[in-house]
Amino acid sequence: MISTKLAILSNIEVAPGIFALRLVRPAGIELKAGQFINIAVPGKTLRRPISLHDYDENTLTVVYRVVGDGTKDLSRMSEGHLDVLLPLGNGFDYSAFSNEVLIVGGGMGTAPLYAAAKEALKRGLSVKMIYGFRSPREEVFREKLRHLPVQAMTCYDTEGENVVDVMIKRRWENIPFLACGPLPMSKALAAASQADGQFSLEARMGCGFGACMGCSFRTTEGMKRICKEGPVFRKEEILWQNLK
Amino acid sequence: MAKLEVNLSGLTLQNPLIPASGTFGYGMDFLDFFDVNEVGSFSCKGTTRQPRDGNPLPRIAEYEGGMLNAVGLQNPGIETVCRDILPELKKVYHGRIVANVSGFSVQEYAETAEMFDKEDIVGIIELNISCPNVHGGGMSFGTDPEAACEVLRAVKARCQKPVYVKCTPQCADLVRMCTELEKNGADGLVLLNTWLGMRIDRKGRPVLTNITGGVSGAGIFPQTLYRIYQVYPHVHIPIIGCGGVSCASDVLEMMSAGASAVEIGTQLLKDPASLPKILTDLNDLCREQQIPEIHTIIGRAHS
Repeated sequence: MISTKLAILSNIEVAPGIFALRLVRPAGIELKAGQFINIAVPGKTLRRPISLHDYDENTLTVVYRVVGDGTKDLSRMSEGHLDVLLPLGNGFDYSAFSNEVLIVGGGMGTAPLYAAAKEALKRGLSVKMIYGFRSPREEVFREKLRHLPVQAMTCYDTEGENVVDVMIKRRWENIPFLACGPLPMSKALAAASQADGQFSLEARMGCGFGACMGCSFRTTEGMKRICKEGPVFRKEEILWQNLK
Repeated sequence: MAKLEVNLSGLTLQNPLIPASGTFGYGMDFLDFFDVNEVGSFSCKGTTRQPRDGNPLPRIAEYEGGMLNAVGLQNPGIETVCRDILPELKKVYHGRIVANVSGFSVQEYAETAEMFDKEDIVGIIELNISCPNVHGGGMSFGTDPEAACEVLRAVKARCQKPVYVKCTPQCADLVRMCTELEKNGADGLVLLNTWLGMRIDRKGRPVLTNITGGVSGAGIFPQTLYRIYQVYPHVHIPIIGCGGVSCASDVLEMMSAGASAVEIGTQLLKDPASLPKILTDLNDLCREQQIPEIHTIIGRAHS
């Protein structure tokens, strides 16, 4: 984990209110799908923790929705440098998959799953994906996904179908999964899937690196910090009633 | 280089900077950012007799001047701290820590403090009677001078090490509280814990599940500074200032108001690498302002 200044390469609105921020990747830092970075927004006390959406040798990208003043300020920065802590948290654990993986995402939770799918493909896994959005206008990664050899399904709240419906219809409920999305989606998925799975969770964080206990919750294995022991947790260790 | 050494009840700190309780864990979370031996001392996470889960999520909120927390004293309990954590800390930290003791009964405070008192690595016991995020303990002792003094006497009876009391700004008459604590044997004061506050989200609901949280950060600096200024002439024991310190000039201001050392909290969460920078800036400021020995400015705002 380092604290460093990263140059902004671009910060583009990819869907209404949703931005993709591309930064120069610092040398000598290993990144994993499922990890996040913590971005200092000038004038704000708390950093904004955002999952890695994509990365290559020289760049890294995060995708975020403007939800308040901090992300609004961030969305207006198109050049210069950002003060960033990275990499934070643990990534997805691919040793849990033998030949295929189901990747399930909802809303902004789909952002880190692009990196997750690329990593799965790199490891030779067969990848099936289900993405859920409120409406087709919020679907941000359609073009990018088209270039990946994955079997991808998309559904929209506006059409009355959710990711769990799709999973059951496709008979994919026995495929081990990786997931990230809103709490109701995650809970429904945990209940409906017969397979092992991992969820990437989010929380309001104080520090992002384990010092303040601002994002701790009780799991079946005791208290865990979403920023430090997470943000990826195994399905069976999550006590959903302790998340909000 | 200015001489930054300060003295707290016989304990010499190489500089007056002390990471504040609750922002620095047990000293191991900042090792990627700086050598923990650079700090004057640090105050460990508020520790109780039994392990505590703390409050439900969300525990964190923000405001223009800083943040609010409602962690609620999550900690592994004093036995685990002494058995598992302090031995690890000793491998990397060679100074003496400020041991923050919290509790829900006089007995609990006394037992926890006594266990810390036996540890070589502990330099000062910091009695936290000011946590705003727990019910039935913490701050309820800190708003009533009689209850505060009862806890203090019980702890003093079992401890050899200096006992400092961390007070709450929610106390109606802070000067009286502090003078009573001194009369009842306090070796020093920590002024202050967080200020009680809340935030409401866009849907009109409290952001924190606990409703209220402790307000910290640069936005509470002036009012905390004033409380230290108010108390200083009435006591003869050292004051550790705590509340909104975010840069080297804040350190000088707080010492000028009467603090012998300062705790830094929210600033370290905002920028975990900032402590060495503040230390460098402090040296530069002392040189610019011709302060060869920093301890000489303690309370100078009163003269």
